[in-house]
Amino acid sequence: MMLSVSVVAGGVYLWPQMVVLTAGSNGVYALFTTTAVAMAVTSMQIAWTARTQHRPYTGALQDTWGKWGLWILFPIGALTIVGLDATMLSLFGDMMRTFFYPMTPRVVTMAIIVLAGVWIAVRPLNTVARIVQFWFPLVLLSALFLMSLSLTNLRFARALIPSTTLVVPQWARASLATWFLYANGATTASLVPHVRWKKPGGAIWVGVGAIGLQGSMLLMLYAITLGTLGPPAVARLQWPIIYVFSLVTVRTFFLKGVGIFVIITWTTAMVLYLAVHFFALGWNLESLATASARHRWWITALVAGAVWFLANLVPSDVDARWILFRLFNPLDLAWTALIVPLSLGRAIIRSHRKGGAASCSES
Amino acid sequence: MNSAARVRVGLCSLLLACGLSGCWDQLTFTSRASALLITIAASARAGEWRWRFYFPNPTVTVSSLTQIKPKDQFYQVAVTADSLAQAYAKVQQRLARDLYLGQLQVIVWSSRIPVPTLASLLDAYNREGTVPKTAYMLLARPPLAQKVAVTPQEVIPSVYLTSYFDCQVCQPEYFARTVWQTWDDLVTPGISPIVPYMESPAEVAQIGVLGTAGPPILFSRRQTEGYAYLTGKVGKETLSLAEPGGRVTLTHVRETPVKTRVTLGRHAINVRARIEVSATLGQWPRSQPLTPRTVRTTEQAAARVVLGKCLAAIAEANRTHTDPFGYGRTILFMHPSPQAWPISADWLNYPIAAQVAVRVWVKGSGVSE
Repeated sequence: MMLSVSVVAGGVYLWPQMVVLTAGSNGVYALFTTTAVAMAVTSMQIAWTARTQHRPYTGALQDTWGKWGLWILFPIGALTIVGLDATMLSLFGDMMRTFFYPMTPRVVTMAIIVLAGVWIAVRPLNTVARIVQFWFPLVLLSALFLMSLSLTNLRFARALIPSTTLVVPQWARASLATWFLYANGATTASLVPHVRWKKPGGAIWVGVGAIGLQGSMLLMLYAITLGTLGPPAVARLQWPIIYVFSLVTVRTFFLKGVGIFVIITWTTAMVLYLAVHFFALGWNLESLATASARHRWWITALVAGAVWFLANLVPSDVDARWILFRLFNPLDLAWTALIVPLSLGRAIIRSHRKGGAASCSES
Repeated sequence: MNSAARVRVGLCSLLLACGLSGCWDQLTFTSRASALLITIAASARAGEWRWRFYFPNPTVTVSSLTQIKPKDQFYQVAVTADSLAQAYAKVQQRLARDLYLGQLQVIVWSSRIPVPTLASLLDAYNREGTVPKTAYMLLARPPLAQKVAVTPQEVIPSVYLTSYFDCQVCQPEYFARTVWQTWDDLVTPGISPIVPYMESPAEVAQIGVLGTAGPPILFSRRQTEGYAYLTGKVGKETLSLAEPGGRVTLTHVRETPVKTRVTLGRHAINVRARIEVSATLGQWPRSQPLTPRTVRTTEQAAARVVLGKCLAAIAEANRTHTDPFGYGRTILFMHPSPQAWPISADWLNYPIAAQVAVRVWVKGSGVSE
């Protein structure tokens, strides 16, 4: 459950504009590709942390790359995550301002989201897990409820059918454009070893399953937006899913105020996403600084404050989009795709050497 | 929990409570002027438009219903502005309360407004996150002021036109179009958006087709019916036929979903449509016996009438180089030119070559013979 949430897509409200903008109705190929890549990367990451027997993530890093490696590699990963979170938060603030609170300053909306995130993140792991366990099904249900209401607005299922011709550059760019929803590898790797698995492969399967679940949610949202509006219109909308959900009329429906479900869905998803990230970062920094658990509160607050501060620096959603899709998205994908296989490879080689040495001494 | 922690938690929850209430956006309903209907027409000056915002009269409540005069139900603010944003600003200047568009139900456009202007104004409206995209679109012939004003069929804050369009089974043909559908059709190649057209107050029997330039193209009643049959919008139409023996009418005319096959030809968009219509016998000449054979003859005559309407609609679409049926869009979704994204194709301007087959079934003959 924890894992499912660690991959809760904080930026799902941006989905699927960029993909459709890049590849039209062929975006579905890109979705499958990115999901497969995310599954591969996450399972490698879990396999690596499981092999090193260290936790959290910083422990695994130190075990594989040594102290110097840790001090070089961890800041790069952490800064990427902080930057990504700040951009997401800034976009979330813009979304709330655009659709729900036009007069409320973005600073306040974001501060509240961050505060709620910190409030969850400073709890012990099992409390966080329980909070998440409670909210996650609610978010899922309310999202599914909204989706079922939106089904009445479906206009053309034909728009979903992709072309039989795959245009490779478009496909590659669209696959990259989806990555930000899966950029959670390090967080997952931090959390996974904490759970005691009955079977050694269990963690990997749960990780893959969680990503599969997220992938199927994204596929459903993709189908609803494209089936309602068609690719040319989706490519022009900044927040396609929120737009589609806002089309559910309350006049023709027995239930008033569907909007509340929309707000609850996005806000809770965002808070949980940030909370899990803050938790993982706080924990890693704590072990890095060899601080006691008492200082975790301050470390987490510092991380959250940094995210909030950086988010405020982003002037508008146009800039935030640029930063997300042109900077952090490719950066994170390149970094993850580079460091994870290398780490796994090095860990395997080292353990083989160790194993070899052990067997030598035995004989 | 120690006292310091208690204070901390207390402060945090106070801050959360303050922030979550959204104080900045919180206004009571009485301090808001909630526009329900907007009309947009040409003004005396080129490049500027006449905007009229209709607000429900806050002094009218349900309890005072018996005394109200229809004219008092709404008050309106009229301004001349070159854009949506300027219209908001000018209307707000004339109001003592906060202008609020979250409850907007209908936008009425002058039928003489050029389509590019309508498209750019609609784009601006669609860009705003807080305004409802589910408002209905309507074209009407100017002057709009008296025409749209709201008939007392409905209790405010409902607008008559909203209830009219909300009711899918009330009308012979269902033409309601919301802002988001029109916007979607405007940005999607291969379809010319349609907007229902109101000739006189509360009479919505025609459609306007938004071409690429000039004002919307009004389809005649006959062409509009043809459009309705081709797109499966007919719910409870009637057909009146002048038979040799006298007048025959068919009631409860309704369609099963139209089976349409669209393919891209060399120089045309080829369409094969199969329309199946069921009906009940209404008026029947006394002199004519009601036998299977006469019924078949009537069915064929009715089918010819429907076919004529459909062909008239297609001919008008071809004449005006529009495609209100969205056949081009269907082709688009079939990826005829897979490399082309974003979409650009010359076939979007091809004429429609249609083969329409109509079958009418008289399902019942009523009570008497």
